[in-house]
Amino acid sequence: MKKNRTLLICLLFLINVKTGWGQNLILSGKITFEKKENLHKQFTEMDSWTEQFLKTTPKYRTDQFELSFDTRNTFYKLTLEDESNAMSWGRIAAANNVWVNLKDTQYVAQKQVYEKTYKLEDSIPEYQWKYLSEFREIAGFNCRKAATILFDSIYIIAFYTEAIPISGGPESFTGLPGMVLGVVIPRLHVTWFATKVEPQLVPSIVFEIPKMKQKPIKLQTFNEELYKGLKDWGDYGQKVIWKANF
Amino acid sequence: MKHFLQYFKLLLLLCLIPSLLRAQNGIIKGSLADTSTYKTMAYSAVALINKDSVIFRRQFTNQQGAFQFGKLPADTYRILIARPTFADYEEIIPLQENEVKDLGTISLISKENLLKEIIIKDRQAIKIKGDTVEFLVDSFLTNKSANVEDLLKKLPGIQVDKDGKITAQGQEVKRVLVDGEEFFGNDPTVATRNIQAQNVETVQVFDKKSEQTAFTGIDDGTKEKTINLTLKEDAKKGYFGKLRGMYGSKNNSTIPNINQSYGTENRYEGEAMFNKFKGKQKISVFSTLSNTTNTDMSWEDREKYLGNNIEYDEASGYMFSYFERSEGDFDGNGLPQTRYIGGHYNDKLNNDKQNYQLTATHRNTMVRGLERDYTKWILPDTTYFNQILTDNKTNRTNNSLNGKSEFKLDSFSTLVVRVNLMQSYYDNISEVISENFNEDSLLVNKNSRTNSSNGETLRFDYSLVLNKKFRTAGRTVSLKFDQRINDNKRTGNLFSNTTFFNGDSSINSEQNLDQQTPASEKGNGIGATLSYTEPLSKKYFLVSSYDYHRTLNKSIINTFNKDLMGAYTKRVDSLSNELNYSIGIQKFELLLRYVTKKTNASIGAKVSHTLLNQDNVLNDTLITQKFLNFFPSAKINYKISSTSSFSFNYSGSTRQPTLQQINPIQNLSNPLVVFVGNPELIQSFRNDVSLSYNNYKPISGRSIWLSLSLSNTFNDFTNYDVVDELGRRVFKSVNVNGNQSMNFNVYYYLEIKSIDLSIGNNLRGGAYKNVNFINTLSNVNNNINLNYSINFSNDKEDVYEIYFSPGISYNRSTTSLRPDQITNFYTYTTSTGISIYLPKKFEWFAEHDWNKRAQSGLFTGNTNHIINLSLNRKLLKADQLEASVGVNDLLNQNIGFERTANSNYINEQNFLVLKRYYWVALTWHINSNRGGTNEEE
Repeated sequence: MKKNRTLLICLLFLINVKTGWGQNLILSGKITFEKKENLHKQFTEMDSWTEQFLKTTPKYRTDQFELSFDTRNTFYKLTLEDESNAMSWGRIAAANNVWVNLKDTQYVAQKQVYEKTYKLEDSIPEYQWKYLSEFREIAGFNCRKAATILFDSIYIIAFYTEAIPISGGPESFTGLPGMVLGVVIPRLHVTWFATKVEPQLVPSIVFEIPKMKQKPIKLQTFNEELYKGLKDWGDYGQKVIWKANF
Repeated sequence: MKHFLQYFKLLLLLCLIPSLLRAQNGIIKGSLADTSTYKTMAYSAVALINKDSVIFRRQFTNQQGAFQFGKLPADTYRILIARPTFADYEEIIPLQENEVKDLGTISLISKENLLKEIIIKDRQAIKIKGDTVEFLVDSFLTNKSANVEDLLKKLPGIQVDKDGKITAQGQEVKRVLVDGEEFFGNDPTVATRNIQAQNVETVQVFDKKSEQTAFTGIDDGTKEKTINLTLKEDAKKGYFGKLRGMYGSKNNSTIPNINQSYGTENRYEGEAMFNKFKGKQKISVFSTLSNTTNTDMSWEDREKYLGNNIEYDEASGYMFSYFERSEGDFDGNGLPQTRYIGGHYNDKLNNDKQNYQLTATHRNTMVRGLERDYTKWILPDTTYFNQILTDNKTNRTNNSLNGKSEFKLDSFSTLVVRVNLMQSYYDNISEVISENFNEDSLLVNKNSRTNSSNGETLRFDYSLVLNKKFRTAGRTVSLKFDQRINDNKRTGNLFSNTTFFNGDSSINSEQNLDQQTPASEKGNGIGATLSYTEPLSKKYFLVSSYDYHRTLNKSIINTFNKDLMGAYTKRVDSLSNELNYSIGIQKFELLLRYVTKKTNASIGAKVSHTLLNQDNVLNDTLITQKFLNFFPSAKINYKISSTSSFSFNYSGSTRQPTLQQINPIQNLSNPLVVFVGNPELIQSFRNDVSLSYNNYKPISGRSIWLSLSLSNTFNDFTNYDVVDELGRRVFKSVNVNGNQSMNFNVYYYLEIKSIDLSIGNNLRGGAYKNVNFINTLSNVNNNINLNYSINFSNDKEDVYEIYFSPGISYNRSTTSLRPDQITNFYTYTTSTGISIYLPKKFEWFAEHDWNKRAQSGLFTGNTNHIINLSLNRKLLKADQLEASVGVNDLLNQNIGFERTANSNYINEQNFLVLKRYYWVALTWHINSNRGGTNEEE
């Protein structure tokens, strides 16, 4: 019985892919994202220490991630870390694994914030995306621009394409009528841009959430715990919490 | 009436129903068709946008190409249907409560069949390329007091409405940057209404992505209309500064058993600092005057007015700051009076490719010291006691000039030039009475002497460092050339009387000295270092360096006795010397380094060859010595995670005996101590091993830091110490094995988040073994010290801060020659501080230190409480003025005290320190950004 069902699903996928493919739609595949962070802009105040520090620190840190997707699920993971280990103490939730179940609008994210690894299990955060009538080409795809504000002050810009009719994206940037291929957070000086989209006729996504030691927690509990730990850190602690959310 | 109420309730319910229903029951649905090919339109993106432009719902059409949005509240929606190769379909849909709107079959039009006008419309929406429009401000500026908003109104193509909203070339400007940076967040009016138009050089209007990327350094992908204001270089100007004056009551410093008070004048502190900046140019002047222990600028002021010296050590990856102490700077012993004046200039030119720094300082330190030094010496057959009373006055002036220039020659090379000049004058006079007592407390000898010296030192050095990188990552060459010249002159006077007693207090003999010792020393050293790093692979690097330095020195010491006429003309040949010596040192280092993301390790060694030529001009003898020194080293630094690391360090080093140990020049300032040379001394070899581990858990608020270091020295130099029958100590250096030490440090920090309490625990200690010789007998000394302290702190922002920190330490010292003489003592301390921020800008500070030194053997213990209090009030709108009153050492119990137990002696020192004084102070912060944030303190 179970075997039959799997076969049926496979067949359905093939049909889906076929119907989509013929019309320039991609329904499953892999997207390579480049996450770029400006390390020099992480400092708001310039003193002798910072000045000397920046002389020995590269300006950007670039990590590569891969998002594999089909019409039901997406899975996002780190594939290539930047060679430099500069400012490793400032790396907050920088190697996340994110599993999204589009049908149930649920996601699981494995994130490391300092000494702790968290397993977030919650419904996909619903962002209030504002549609902006602007376009930009990313990785050969014509993308539309949308923006939202989180935590009352973090402006997030996303570029999505209807050519991949799946409400997915890097990290937990989802909820747009198309795949998110670019995200910019000016305040945190960080961008995610797709560099390569590889369509696959037969979905190869392994959507199996591995067993984790961590107890699953909700996003709100996660933020509360971070706040409790970092409340004495002032503006820097605030920034850490923001970073941990994306 | 009752009926009426029920009726009313019903009415209320009826009114509520529509509003409950109104919320969520509208439906918009439809399906798609391709007019030309009639293919299915599955997976088309359908977005429902509400009137706030928010994507309210989204859906992809099903296999039949249909979509349906249910449970919609009433609103005016815009539906946007998008599919590659098709033109966007947009429709405005006003939706009533509970309305079901069926859009029927919507035909999407393939882009190939698009009407011309739609293409034009599309193009407008996709408008990306637009050249930057730049306006030169001065040609538009008519009114000097105009702000940027007034200016923008004058520029062609730009409109500003009454709310400050800017439209450029028909589009709203959402961002105003100042020199490429966002000025106080996203509100453009903050910049346009607060910046004076005359300070702006150009106004740039653009929406080209790459331009903005260049300015902000980050590709944010926005194509918003943006205005960038570039400021005139001289517009980034301003100043800040600080003036502070403190006046305090008279002080009354004493040391035990001396019935005289010192430091009885009023206390004062004065600070004046000023910094002016214009573009990247910074000029500051500063001065501090005081006769309290605040003899220097605070760390923060140093950073603001001088800039700290930060260096980066590539091998360890650590940055460190050094703060050079000059000779004669106040060290906490005695009553100081200081004057510190300086200036600093810093400028960056040519796109930061050139950096110039110049600092000039003048520092005068006068210290009045009085010290009683009490030592118990443990000898094989006896013990004896030494008491020294020193009355000391020093006056020293250091003038220095430091310059540094950095040049970026190209993207691969930098040149750093440093020049330092330092000149000092000093004048010291100390009156010393030294007495030695035997076991029965009978006086063995007594020396009273007056040492005075005055002199001048001059030091000049410069260096040139050229660093070059190559296209091959990891390959670097560095060449350093430096020279150092020094010229010192000194005149010393010694007037001394020593009386030696027989065991029964009768005088055995007496010795008088009245000598003058003029001395001079000149040195000139020059040398160069060449370092080269070659990457062997991505992970392995070979680091090599060669260094050669040669120094020529000329040293003349003459000692004259007083002749009958009272003039110092009779030269004492045994105490006079004229040496010309040269030292040539060659060093070669080879290191293999292994660097990965987690590991930074190296192994290698340095070899140095020293050639010393010493020409004794007076007796015409030439001594030539050659030494070969060896310094192996190994290091591993392993990052267990981003918050945890482990390190291991090994270093070995040879040490040569000094000339003073082989062939000493007698220092006659203390006739009770005599040095004898030992030409048979051989080099020693020391091994040092250290391990450390740290783990920081910010979220849980815990951290651990562990360290352990061990050292062992072969053929170490030690004292061969003979106390003669007259109580004089005759020293000689000899080689010995078995000197070793161990140190450890454990730090554990935790936060109890629920009550905001931070707790730091620190346990540290050391064990030391060293061997020396006393009256020809070998003696093994073992010392142990252990210290534990715990610190509790708690604070509530802008309400209070409090800390409490008790500690205990234990010392134990044994000596093999006298197992019966065990010295052990405990010291207890607590340190408490409370700051309270009161209403009306009042602040209250209180500190309390308690020290208890337990009694040990013949040393009496002591206990003291030191309490400092102050009350502060901030005044004026931006807290520019600060008035304070306070008291230092309220209970007048401060003492200068130190106790040391080491090898075969125990020593206790009492010295002068400042005690109680009451004070008032006024601080004024000045800042050209009026009403801005208070940058000071």
